[in-house]
Amino acid sequence: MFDKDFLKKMHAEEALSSAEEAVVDEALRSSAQEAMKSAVKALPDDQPSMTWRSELNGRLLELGKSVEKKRRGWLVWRPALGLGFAGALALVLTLKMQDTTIPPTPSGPSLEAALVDEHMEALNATTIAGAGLASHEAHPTPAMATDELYDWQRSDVESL
Amino acid sequence: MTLGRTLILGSALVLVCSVLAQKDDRRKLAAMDLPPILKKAIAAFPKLRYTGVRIIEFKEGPERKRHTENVIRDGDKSRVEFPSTSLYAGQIIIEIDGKRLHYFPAQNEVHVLPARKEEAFGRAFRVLTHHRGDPVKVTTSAGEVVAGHRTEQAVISDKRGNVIERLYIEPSKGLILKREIFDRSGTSVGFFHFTQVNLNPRIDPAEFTPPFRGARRVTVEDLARRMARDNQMLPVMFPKGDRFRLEHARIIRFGGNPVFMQMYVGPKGRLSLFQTSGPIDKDRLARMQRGNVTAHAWVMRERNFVLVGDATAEELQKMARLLTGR
Repeated sequence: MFDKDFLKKMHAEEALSSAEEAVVDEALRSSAQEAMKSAVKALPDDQPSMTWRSELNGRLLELGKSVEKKRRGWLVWRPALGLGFAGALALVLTLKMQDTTIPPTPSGPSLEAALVDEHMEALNATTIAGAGLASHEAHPTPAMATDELYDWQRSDVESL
Repeated sequence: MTLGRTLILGSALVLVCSVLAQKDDRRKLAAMDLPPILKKAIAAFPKLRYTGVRIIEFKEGPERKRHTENVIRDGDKSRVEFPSTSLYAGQIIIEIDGKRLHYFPAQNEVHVLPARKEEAFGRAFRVLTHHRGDPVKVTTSAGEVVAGHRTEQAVISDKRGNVIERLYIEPSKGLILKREIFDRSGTSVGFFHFTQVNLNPRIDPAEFTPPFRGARRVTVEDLARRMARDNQMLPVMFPKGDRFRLEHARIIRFGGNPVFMQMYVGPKGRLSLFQTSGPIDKDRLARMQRGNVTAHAWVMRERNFVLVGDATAEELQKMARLLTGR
């Protein structure tokens, strides 16, 4: 009934001519086909038991929970690990930078020299200034409105 | 006698003693064998009357700072103000009755300090009399014209010829119109010179009446205690009396750390008392001493103290034992 070329055509799912279609229809209506059809129809309908189903559902649920747990855990730990790694990296880089930017021991005056210098400068400033303004009391006046001046009496000075 | 009256009388006695001590220096200078122009300046000093404008320059570390002052002087009274363009505009300094009143308009405060005018000759006296083992030389010559006035120049030098001080003195009144001081290496460390001066001024006595009514009065001791408190320092000071007079106090920053400095006028001239939390290397301190200036360091209540002054180390040690607030 079916030659090689015809089978090849059917296998390739190529379009059949109307004559070829009629041949296929006749083959499907044959007694052998009908017998096979009845045999398949007669097979028992195998339904899964409720117990098996519920066990399956239970296992599926648990599986789902553990997956969810793992997923949530990763939601927390992944960023934390990322931050921790970034922090460690920053620390390492910073320490490296500090190592390279710590200035050498200052070669400026020591505290002892500075104290003696301060004494000498204050001494000289007082000598030069006399009753005027010495450097150690030279505090600039902030910009402000002029204060109104009031009259004092000499007795106010004596009472100081 | 009330406590108030006792305090006033005590303060007056302190001031009188210190002024007499300084006048004593001036009398000793006047008795020395010095060139006539210098003797004239010393004798004229307490009675000078003038108004003028002068420029002052100080050396502070590597920097030089300069400012201009308007000055009125009538004997033992003086008034200093600053031009309106000055950094110190608005401040007024009046010296009267042995007191120095420095008005700060921004804070509306008057700082009450001992008068400093007599100190003008303190250094000259120390240089001329206390230059240990090193005789000094005083020479005179015609000086430059300063503020339109002819001057005579007096130069004080050490035995090696290094100039210690130059003074340009107006010969008719004995007023020092220009003064320049030098350190041991010959570097100028400061000067003043008048740019304008009136030697026959008309002075209103009201110029010396402090116009600071309503301003808060703060004594130098109050200032020192305030600084000590604000910077977590111990309020260690010399006792208030006739031996030591606190002249000024301030906080210096060294490497960001505060150092509390107090300057006193004592029996051996000016003394500086430093207090710091940082350690002091005594050997290094000994190497920093120069000329007549020595230093003594010690530790007390976990604070480091240094006394610097024109005295021997033993004398400084004795003075250190007098400190109160220990």
